[in-house]
Amino acid sequence: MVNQTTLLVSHKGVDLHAATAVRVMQRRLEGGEALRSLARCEVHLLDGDGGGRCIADLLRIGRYFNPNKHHYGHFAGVLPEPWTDEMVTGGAELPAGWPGEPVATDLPTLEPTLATALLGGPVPDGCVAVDVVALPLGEVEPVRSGVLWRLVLDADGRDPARLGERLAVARGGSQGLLINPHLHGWLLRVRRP
Amino acid sequence: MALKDESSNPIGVGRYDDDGLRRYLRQHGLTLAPSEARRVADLLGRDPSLTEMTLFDTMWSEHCSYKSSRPYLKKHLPNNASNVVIGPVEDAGVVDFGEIDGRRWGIIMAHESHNHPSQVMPVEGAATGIGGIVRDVYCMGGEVIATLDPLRFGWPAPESPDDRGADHRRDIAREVVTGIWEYANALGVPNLGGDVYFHHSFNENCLVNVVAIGLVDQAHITHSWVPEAAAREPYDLILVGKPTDWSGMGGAAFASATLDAAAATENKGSVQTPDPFLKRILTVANRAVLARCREAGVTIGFKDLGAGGVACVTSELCDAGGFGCNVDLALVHQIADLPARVCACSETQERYGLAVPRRLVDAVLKIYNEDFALPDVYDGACARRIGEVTTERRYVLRRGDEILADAPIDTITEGIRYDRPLAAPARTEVPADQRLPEADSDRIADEWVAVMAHPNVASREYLYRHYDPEVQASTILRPGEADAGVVAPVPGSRRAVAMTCDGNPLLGLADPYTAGARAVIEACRNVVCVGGEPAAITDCLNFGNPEVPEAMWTFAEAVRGVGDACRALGRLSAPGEPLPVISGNVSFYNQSASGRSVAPSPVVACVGVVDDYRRSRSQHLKEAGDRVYVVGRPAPELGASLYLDAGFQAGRPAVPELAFDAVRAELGAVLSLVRAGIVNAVHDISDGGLAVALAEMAVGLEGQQRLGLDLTLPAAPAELSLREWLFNEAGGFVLTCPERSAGEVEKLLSFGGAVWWPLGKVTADPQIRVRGGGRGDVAVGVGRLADAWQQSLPRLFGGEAAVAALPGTPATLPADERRQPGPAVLSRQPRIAVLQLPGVNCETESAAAVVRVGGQAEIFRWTRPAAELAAFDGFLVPGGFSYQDRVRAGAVAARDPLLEVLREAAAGGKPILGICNGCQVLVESGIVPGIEPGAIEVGLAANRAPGRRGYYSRWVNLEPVPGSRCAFVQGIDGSFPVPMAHAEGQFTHEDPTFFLRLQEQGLLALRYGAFAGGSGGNPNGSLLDTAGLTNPGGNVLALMPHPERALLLRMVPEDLPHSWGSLRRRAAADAERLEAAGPGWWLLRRLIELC
Repeated sequence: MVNQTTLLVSHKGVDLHAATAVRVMQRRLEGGEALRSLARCEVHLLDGDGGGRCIADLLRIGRYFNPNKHHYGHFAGVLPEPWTDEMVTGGAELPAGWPGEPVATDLPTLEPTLATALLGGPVPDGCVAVDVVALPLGEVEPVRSGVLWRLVLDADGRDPARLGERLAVARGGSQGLLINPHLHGWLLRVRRP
Repeated sequence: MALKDESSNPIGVGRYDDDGLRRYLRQHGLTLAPSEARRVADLLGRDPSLTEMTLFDTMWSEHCSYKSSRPYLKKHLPNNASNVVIGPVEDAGVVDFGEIDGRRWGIIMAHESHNHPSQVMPVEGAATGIGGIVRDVYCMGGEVIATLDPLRFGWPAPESPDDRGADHRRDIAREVVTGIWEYANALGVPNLGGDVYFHHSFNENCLVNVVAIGLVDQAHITHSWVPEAAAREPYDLILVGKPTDWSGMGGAAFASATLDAAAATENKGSVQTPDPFLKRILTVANRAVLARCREAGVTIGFKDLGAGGVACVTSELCDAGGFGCNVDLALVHQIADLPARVCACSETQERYGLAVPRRLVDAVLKIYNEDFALPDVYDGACARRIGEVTTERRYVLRRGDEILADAPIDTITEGIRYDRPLAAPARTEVPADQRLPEADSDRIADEWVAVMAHPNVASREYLYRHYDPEVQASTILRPGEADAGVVAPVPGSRRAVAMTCDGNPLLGLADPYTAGARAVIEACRNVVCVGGEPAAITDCLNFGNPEVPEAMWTFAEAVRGVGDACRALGRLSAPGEPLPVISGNVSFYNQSASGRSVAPSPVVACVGVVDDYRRSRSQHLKEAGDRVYVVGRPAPELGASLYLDAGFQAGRPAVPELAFDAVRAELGAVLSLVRAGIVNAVHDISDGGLAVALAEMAVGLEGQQRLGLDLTLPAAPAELSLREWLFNEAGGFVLTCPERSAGEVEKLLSFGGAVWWPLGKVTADPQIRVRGGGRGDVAVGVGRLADAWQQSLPRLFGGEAAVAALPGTPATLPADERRQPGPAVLSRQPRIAVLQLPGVNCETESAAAVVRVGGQAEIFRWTRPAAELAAFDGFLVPGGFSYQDRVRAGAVAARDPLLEVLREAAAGGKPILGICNGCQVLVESGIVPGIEPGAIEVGLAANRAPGRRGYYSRWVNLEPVPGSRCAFVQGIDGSFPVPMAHAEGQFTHEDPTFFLRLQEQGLLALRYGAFAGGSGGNPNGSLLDTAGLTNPGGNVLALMPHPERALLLRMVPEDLPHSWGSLRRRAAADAERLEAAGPGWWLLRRLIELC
C-alpha cells in the first residue's frame, strides 16, 4: 500500500483542449456519437508521506495553480500499488476510491463530490462517466503530472469501459484521440451516477 | 438572448454623496472617481445608464484616455519627420521603408504593455499582450514581421534568508516566457529581440511590454476609421471573431489601478483569454477579406477590439471618420445570459470590427463564415453584421428596442485630461570626487567574471530559445547574434528592417531624464551596429501612480529625456529632422497596494532601414588578426552601472553625462563603416561597459567557436583607472575589421568626427588580455567568462542539470564537408499541394520554397473538398500549430478527412514531406512509419532535456541514417544544419527497442548529430537521436526540423560551428552566393524530383 497525494486542477473558463477534443471526437471517431461531453483536469501526483505538505507549498508559490484561472482540489488516498510506468503502460484499472478524500479546495465548500465538481458537475441521467488518467511515460520528476479526462457517454447498451477506451486511446486515424499509447500510460474507470 | 439585467438602468448620480457614489461604482466594477461620474452626467445632461457609465469608465481610464500623460507626450515627443507615413494617431504608426519594384512600403510599429495582467495571470497576460499588439498591426492592413519583448521581473534569487518569494518570482518569469512562446510561436510571428531586467522593484509588479513590427504596402494601408465614402453609400458594421463573453471585463480600468495582490482573484475577469489558434485563422481570413475589398475597389474601416470591446471599437471607428452609428447588441454573437453592458464593454480577445459598404457585407461574411469556417473552428465564433454607420454624429447602442446608450459620439471618445502635480524626489548628495582606485589583475578578473554572471548581464539564451525567431523564413539576424534583429521582409529585395528595444531601470531610479534619453541612444546604437539607419521609435513608459507627485515627476522627466534625444540625434540622413516617435503607450499605476512602485522604466523600440542585408553581420569576433577599435568617450562615473549593482566598490556615483552631438557623430561614423562592408563585427557598449562588450564578442552563443583579444587601452583619458575604463557605461561601440581595411576604417571614423581609439587585435588564443596603458593589466580566459555568462540563468531557472546540458565549444571549425547531390533535370514542374490545416503557420514560406526549387505550389485550405487534393503530384504538410497543439501536437489535425487522401497518396507512391507540425500530423495519422497501414505506431512526446521544458529553437546538425529507404535522403553524404523549433519533437515508443527495429527496416531517415566540438546533438531526447521517419515505400519524409528555413545560404547563421557556417561567413558580401542553395534546399528539391 502506498499513500498518494493528488492535486486536481481545472480551468475556470473554457478548457480549450477539451472543447477542441470533444468536437473532433464527436465528428470523426468511431463511437463519437455517444460522447455527450468531455472535461479535463490537470493531475499532479505525489507518492509517499509528506505529500500534503508539499502540495500546500506548491499552492502557496503558485506552481500548477493560479487562483485567477484555476480551481483546485487536494486529495489524499491510499493505493494498493504505485503507478509505475510498467503498471500503466497499455492501460490499467483506476482504483474505485481514487483520488481519495478531499483535503482542501478553493471552491466554497469541501464536499465529498469535489472531484465531480472540478470535472463539470454531476453526470446527466442516462449517461455514465468514464474517467481516464493519462500519464506521460518516462517522467522522472518528483511530482508526476498528467491529465484526467472525463468522458460522459450515452453508451446506449454498449460496454462503457470499452467504448471509453476506444474513444480515448489513439490507435488509428479514426480510433481514439486523447492518449497516444506510445507516449502515455493510462488508468480507466467507469463512474456510474 | 441575454437575461434582463441592470444595463439600461439610469444611475441617479445626484442621489449619492461621494462615498455613496464611490461605493455604487465599485459594486459595479467601475473605477471612475465620483467627480468623473458626475461629469459624465453633466456631459449627457441626464443620469447615465449603467452601460453608459461602464463605457465612460473604460474610455476615461488612464489606459485609454492618457488623461495624465497626454500633455507631456504632445509637448516632448516629436513626430514631424518627412519619413513618417502615419504618426501616433491610429492603432500603430507607419514609417517609410522606401520603394521596391514599384511599390512603396511602410514599416508599422506598435508598442504596448500588459503589466498588470501578467502579474496576475502570467501566461494569459503575456499571451494576450502579444495578441493585442499584433492586432494593431494587422488592422493597418499589414503583416507582422517580428515581435520584440522587453520584460522586467522581480529578483530571481532569495533576497534574504527569510525571502520565500523567489520561487514565485521565477515562476512569473517562466510563465510570462511561456505565454509569449505559446502565443507568438503559434501565430507564426518571429521573435527578433527584447531585453530582460531583474530588479526587486518588480517583485510585485512585473513589466511585460511587447512591440510588434509590421510591413505594409503603403497603397494598401487600412485605417481605423469609417471612410469618407460612407457619406455617399450605406456602410454597415461587422464584428468578427470569438463570441463575446465575460473575459477581460474592465481590463482597461484594471490596467489603470494600483495592483493589489490580495485581490488577485477578483481581478480574474479583467484578464482576457488568449486563443492564438483562432487568431491565426482570423489573420489568414482577414487577408482574404482585405484582398476582396481591394478587388472591389472599396475602402473599409478596420480596427481591432481591445479595451472597451464592442462599444469602444464602434464608437472610435465612427467618430474618427466623422460619423455616428447605431449598434444592436442583440446581433452580437455572445455567450448565453451575458448582461448587455458586459456584451458592450468586455475585452474578449480575438475580435475585429469592420465598417464595410453594405453591398459587400454578404461577401465579407461568406469569407469568414464559410471559406474559413469560423463557426467550425471555435464554438460560437463567426462574423456578423451588428449595426450601421449613420451620418448623424450620435452613438446609439441598443439591444433590440431597448436603448442602452445614446450620446453625442465625440463625448464618448474625447476623454478627459488632468494636470497632475509634480515633485522631484529628495536625493542624497554624494561626494563628486569619489573614485574607483586601481586594483590587481586577479581582483579585476574576478570582478569581470562576477559582472558577466550578474542576472542583468548574463546570456538570455536560456529564455529566448523558447521563442521562434525564424518562422516566415526571412530572418537575417536572430536574437543573440547581434545588437538588433534583422529581417528582410520583401521577397527578392536586400532591403531589410533592423529592430531593437532598450531601457535601463537602474538608470530610471538614478535619473529618469537620462534613462529616457539613454534608451533612445542605445536603441539607435543597436540598430546602427547591424547597418540600419534609425528611422523611428516607439516608447512604452512604465511608471508608478501618477497621482503621486514624485512618481509623476519621474514620468515627466523620462518623456523629456526621450524627446530631447530624438531631437538631438535626429535622422542621420535628414539633418534637422528629429527621429520621430510614431506610436507608444503609457502604463501607470505599476505600484502594488503596499505602495511599492516599479523603477521608472521608459522602454524604447527603434527600427532602422538596412539598405543591404549583406552588411548586417553578427557581433562576434570573426578572424584572428582582425583589428579592434573602441568608439565613444568613456566617463569616470559609475552611477547606476551594473558594476555597482553587482555589489562592487562604488566609484563616482553620478551617471555619465549625455553628449548628444558626440553620439550623433559616432552613429554616423559607425553606420558608414557597416554600410561600406569593411567591418567584421560591431557591438555596442552598454550594460557592464567595455568589459562586457568585449566578452560578449569573444564568447558568442552556446556551442560557438571562441576567439580572444589582445588589447592595450589608450593613455587618454588619463584620469580613468583601468576598472573605470572597463566598467563605465557611458557607451559607444567596439568594432573589428580585417587588417587590410584598417586604414579605411580609421579614415571614416575620423571623417565622421567620432572619438575613437585603436585597441589591438583578435587572437586565436581564447583569452582577453587588456593592458592598461600604465594603469595595470588584466587577463581572463574567455572560457571562464563564458561559463559565468552562459551558466547564470540556466542555473537560476533550470538548476545544475541545465548547466550540465550546455553544449561544448569547438577549438577549430570543421573542414568543408558539404556533400549533397546536384539536382536532376526535371521534365515538368510538378504541382505540390501545401496543406493549410487550421493553425499551421509556415504555409507561405513552404510554398515559396517549393517554387524556388522548381515546383508549382498551391496552398490547399482545409475547407476545400478532400477529393480535390488527390489530383496533386506531391504534398507538403507544413509547420505550425494545427489546432494549437491541443490534446497533443498533430493529433486533432490527423483526424481531418484530408489525411485520408494523403494516406492513399502515400500508399500510391506519391512524395509527401511533413515538416515539424506536418511531421507530427503524419505520425499521428499513422502514415509514418506505416508498417501497419493506418495504425499509430510511434509518438512524439514533449521535448525532454535536462533543466528545460517546453518549446525550444536552435540549429541542429542532421545526418542521414545509414541504410534508410527514404528517397529524400539518398545521395546525401555527410551532415547538414537546419533549424529546429518545436515543443513536442521527441520520437518515442513504449518499447525503446522498437526504434531499433525501425532502423533495421530502413524507416529512420535522419538523425541528430553533434556539431564540431561536441556541441548540440540530440535536442529533445528522441530515441536513437531520430529527427525524421519515412514509410516502407520511402516516399514520405516526416521531419521535425525545418529545411525550408535553411533553403538559402543567407539563412544560415554565420557563426554556426559547421562548414555551412564557414561558407556563409565567407559569402557575407556576395549577393549571388548568399542566394544560392542552403543546406535545406536538397530535401525540398527531392520533393519535386520524386513526383
